[in-house]
Order: sequence, then structure tokens, then C-alpha cells
Amino acid sequence: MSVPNEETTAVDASAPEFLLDQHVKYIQALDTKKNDLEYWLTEHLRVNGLYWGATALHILGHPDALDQEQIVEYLVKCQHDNGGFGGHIDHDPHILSTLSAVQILITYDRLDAIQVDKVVDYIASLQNEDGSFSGDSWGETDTRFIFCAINCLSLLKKLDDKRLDLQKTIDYVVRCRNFDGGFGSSPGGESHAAQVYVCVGTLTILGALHHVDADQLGWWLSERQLKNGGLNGRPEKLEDVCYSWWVLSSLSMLNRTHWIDAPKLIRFILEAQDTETGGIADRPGNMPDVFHTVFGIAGLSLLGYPGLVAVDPVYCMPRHVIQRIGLIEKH
Amino acid sequence: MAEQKDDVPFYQKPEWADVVPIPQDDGPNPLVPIAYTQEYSTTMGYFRAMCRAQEKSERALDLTKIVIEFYRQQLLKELNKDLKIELEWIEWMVEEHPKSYQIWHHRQVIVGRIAQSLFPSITTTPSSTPSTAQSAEAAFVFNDLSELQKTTVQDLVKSELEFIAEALKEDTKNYHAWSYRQWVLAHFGLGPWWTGELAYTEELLKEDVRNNSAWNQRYFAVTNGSGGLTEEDVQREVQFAKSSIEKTPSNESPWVYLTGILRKGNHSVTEIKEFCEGLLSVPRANFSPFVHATLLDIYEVEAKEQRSAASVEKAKEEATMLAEKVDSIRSKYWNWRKTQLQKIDVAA
Repeated sequence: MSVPNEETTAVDASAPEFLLDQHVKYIQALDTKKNDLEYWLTEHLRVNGLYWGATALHILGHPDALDQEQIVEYLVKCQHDNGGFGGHIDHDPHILSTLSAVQILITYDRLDAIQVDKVVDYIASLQNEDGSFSGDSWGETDTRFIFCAINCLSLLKKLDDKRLDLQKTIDYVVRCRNFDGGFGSSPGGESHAAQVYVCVGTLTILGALHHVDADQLGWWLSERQLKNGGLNGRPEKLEDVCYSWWVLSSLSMLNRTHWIDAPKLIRFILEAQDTETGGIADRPGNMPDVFHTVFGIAGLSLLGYPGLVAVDPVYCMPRHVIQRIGLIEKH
Repeated sequence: MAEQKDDVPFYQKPEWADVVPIPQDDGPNPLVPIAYTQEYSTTMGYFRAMCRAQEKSERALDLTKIVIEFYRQQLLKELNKDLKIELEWIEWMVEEHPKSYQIWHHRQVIVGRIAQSLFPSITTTPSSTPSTAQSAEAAFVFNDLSELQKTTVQDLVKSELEFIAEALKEDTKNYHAWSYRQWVLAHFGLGPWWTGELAYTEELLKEDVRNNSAWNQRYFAVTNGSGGLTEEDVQREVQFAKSSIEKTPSNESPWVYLTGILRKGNHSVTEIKEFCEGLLSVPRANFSPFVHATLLDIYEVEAKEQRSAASVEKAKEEATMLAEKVDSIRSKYWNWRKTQLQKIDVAA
């Protein structure tokens, strides 16, 4: 099933090697650490964590490394009557965990296990008058939640739902564009690479990328690369492996990935691997976690690192999955 | 009440002389005796009398307006007390968890509710996001408020901005704190609080000229605060950015700010040509990628406007300088810029 990357990048021979097998073991071990405090502290992110882990394993070419049946069974228990998914069983529903659950189920081709129409009801209920989306019933609004909503509806092929006003959503996202070409969490909010990803992703899915000045934004994104090859999220902030995804995927949607120094970024990500435990940290020398592991691996995949399954820059899911559900020609 | 233009309470007027008010009966030993004002007790006494008699008249109708207003104020007092306790709790939570976005959003909701309860006669659409002031459905028009209301809202905004400033002292780039600050400024519309943002961001930039969040906030304040960017604003901000650039020529933020302000004010980037060329003779500045990048933009604009081959050449030199010397990590971008220069139609 897996489609290896068609384009591969020459890797600096002196760069550390990619620890594929160790990363697989690292992710498999995460769910067995139930005696660790860390495990319980991140309970509210359990569904997100599963998405990060499962996606990383798919890109690593080990789609069966986790027990699929067990995961599907667990996710079904996280869905509420209103259609939304909580971050864990009995946790309040939120759009973030709802998207993660849908992404996992589509990756495993198990959408049949849940009530899709109810998910759509839930998301439609979160759209605000100004076109934005709230994260949950408490009303907090952020461009991230807009992307979660649009991404999820797109994956479910329900963007044509009559209750939605997508033109207003586009208008809202465009209002979040700043003088530096980037995007923030709300109109006037500081440009931030993760917010750029969600806004460019939303506009890409909604076929409205023409609102972006690709050259200006492409340069701003390229400016995120620091001398050590790593990328930061805002000017004068530290580099962090997760921006390998937010910046690179945005550049990819704008067809400008080649503007940055790929070999240097690859080296930076590889140096952030934990050679003892597997997994990738935010930067070299720090403790690894599943969040930085998936975005480091996804970044390497976008850069055409050999031996990895191609990732889709919009949905952050295996490209062959996006192809299977028929969304690939859209971008 | 608009109906009560004179100072005489309604119950002292002749049309109410026939009504005997019914006092409130809290029982002999009320659990929580409430110290009602005399006026409140009397008014409610008349209201009870109307209810008991099931009277349907003009004066009964008038009375309902007074009672509702009283009841609303009573609620307001109770509510305000609770909301203030809530704000204290949030203050403590923010100190403990400065990056928890839920807690910042909660504060936004509470302050939105306080604002609504302070100005009950003004219907508001509470905005869920910090819209920019130009498009915000502000809770009210500041200039239309009474003097008392003006003072109240100014005090509320001031205390919120001070609270946020405290959080920003701990982390000057806390994204949630900045988002909430923009919401506070915009939610209360165009008021005098905007002018303080210039001094505030200037102070933060004096401490750390590389604080991109403060630059962004300055842009937000300058372009929204007075309802639009004036020519005077442009001149002042261009000077402000230039003096920051002279101190830290390799700092991305003031460069982006400078060109952003020029664009917003419908000025051409070519207006800062002399300034940029001047920096080339400054030892630290001549290695700044942003000096060369801006000169590249300027020469490119000149080349297009004047169809000038000489400007194309100068722009190419800058692109080469960037790709090969001062910003080689982005050499592919600068080389692409060079290919774009070759497409410019120049005079023979």
C-alpha cells in the first residue's frame, strides 16, 4: 500500500544516520508506560497522541506496529452524543481531538466504526457568526480550530454541508494575514509558523490560496531557518524540530520548499534523535516526545529523505491515504 | 429613568396616593438579612401591591420599568462581586500557568460579561475574537458614554492592561497574553487606551529591540488605534524603525515593520533608498542580510518603473551578495530573485 517518496534528497554523508527501528520501538513503548506520571499528565491529549504515534509509524513504513482494533475500539468510546470526540474517554469533546480521531480512523480505513453525520453536526455547531470556528462549546476561537474544522470536513467529504458559510471562513482567515505576509491566531495576532500552516492549509483546502502573496510569505518562512539549519516559529525565537513541519508544509503548499537549505535542516532533525531510547526531541540534547517525533519524521519525509513513506503537506497523513480517499488532485 | 426627570420619587406623586405598599416579609429571623436601601424596599412594596391587586394600568406599566432597573442593578452588584473574585482567581491561575490558553480565554469571557453588565442598556454582540478595531463590533461608542461610564470603562481597561503587562514581564512573547491584550483594546472600541500602547511598546522595545511580539503590537496599535494610519503616524514610525535598525541592523523585526508601515501608508520602498545605501558604509550594517534584501527590493522597483538596465544590474549585485556572502543559507531563494530580475523589460 505504501508509496515511497518519488523525489529523494541527497543526504550529507557526515550527518547522523536515521534510527528507523528505534523510533518504531519508541512509539510502540509509549502506551505501555502506564506507571509513568507523564502518561497521566497527558491524558487530555491521549487521542492526539495516538494520531501522532500512528501517523509516525505509517510514515516509517510500519503501519501495523500498533493494535488497530484496540485503537478503533478506544476511539469509539471517546465520541460523545453530540458527535465530538474528547481527548480521552469521559473528557469533554474538542475540535482538536475530533480531528485527530477522524484522521486515525481514515488512515486505518475504519470510518465505518463511528457516526460520521454526528461529527459533521458537531463541527457545524462550532461555526461562529464571523466565519471562524470555536474549539469547543466554551467559545474560544483560534485559526487552529478553523483548520481543524475545515480539514476534518474535507476528509469526511462534507464541506458542502448547507449549514456552513465557507466564504465567511475564507474572509476571516484573510483578515488574519499580517504586514509581514504571515498569519496569526486572530486578526492582528503576531505571525507564527504554526498559525501560517493552519491558515495556508485552510485556504488550500478551500481553493482560496490566491489570497496569499506566496513570494512574500515564502520569504518570511525561509527566514525561519537559522544558521544551524533548524527552523523557528517567529523571529528571534529558538529553533525547534516541530517547525520542520509547520514551516516546511507551508512552503510545500506554496511550492517553495526548495528555498531553504534542505541538507542543513535534515542534519538538524537527525541530530535531535535520541540514540538511546529512539524518538526525536525539540532540539539536539533534549528529551524526545511523540509530538516532536512525528513532526521530525514528517519533515524528513517532505524533504524526500530516503526510505520514508510520502506525507501529505496539507493533512499530515500518509499521501497514499489521501490518494485513496480521492483528495489528492485538489492541491 | 427617562420617565423620572424630576427628583421626586414616583410614590410621592398624587397618582400613587391611593396605593398602600406591602412590605417584604423575610420572616422573624431571616437567615441572611439583606440591607435593602429605603428606596428599593419602598418601590418593591408598591410593586407587590400592584401584583396582589392584579392592577392593569399605565402606572403599573411604568412601575415595572423601575422595578426591572432596580432588580438589574441588584443583580449587577451581586454579579460584579463574584466576577471580581473570579478575576482574582484567574490572576492566580495565570501566575501558575501562564501558557494555559483556557485560562486566558476564561478571563476574556469574564471581562466581556463585566463589560456587558456595566453597560446593560447597550446591546452588544460579544465578539469571540479580538477583531481589529476598524471592524470590531465594539460594545459601545466611547464618546457617547456619560462621564461616569467613561471613567468606569477606562478603569476596567487600565486594570486589564496592567494585569497583562505583569504576565508579559515573565514572558514578553507569551502569545496568549498578547492575543488577550489585543482583544481588550479592540473590544472596548476606539478609546483613549490605545495611545498608551505606543509608549508601552516603546518601553518593551527599549528593553529588547528584538521582541517581535512588541513590534507586532505596535503595528496593531498604530494601524487600528486612531481609526487608521495617518501621514503623521507614518513619518513618526518610519523614524522609529530607522533608529532601531541603526542599533541592530541584522534584526528582522524593525525591517519588516518599516516596509510594512510604508506599504500600509501607500509609500514606496524607494523612499528609504538613501537610508539603506548609507548603512552600507557602517561596518556592522554592511553584513546585514536585510540591508541588502531591502536594497534589492528598491532597485527592482526602480528597474521596473524606470525600465532601467543600470538598476537591474545593481539589484543583481545585491542578490549575488546575499546568495554568496551574507545569507548563503537561502541562496536558492536569492538566485530565484535573480532569475526574476532577468525578466524585467528595460529600455534599449
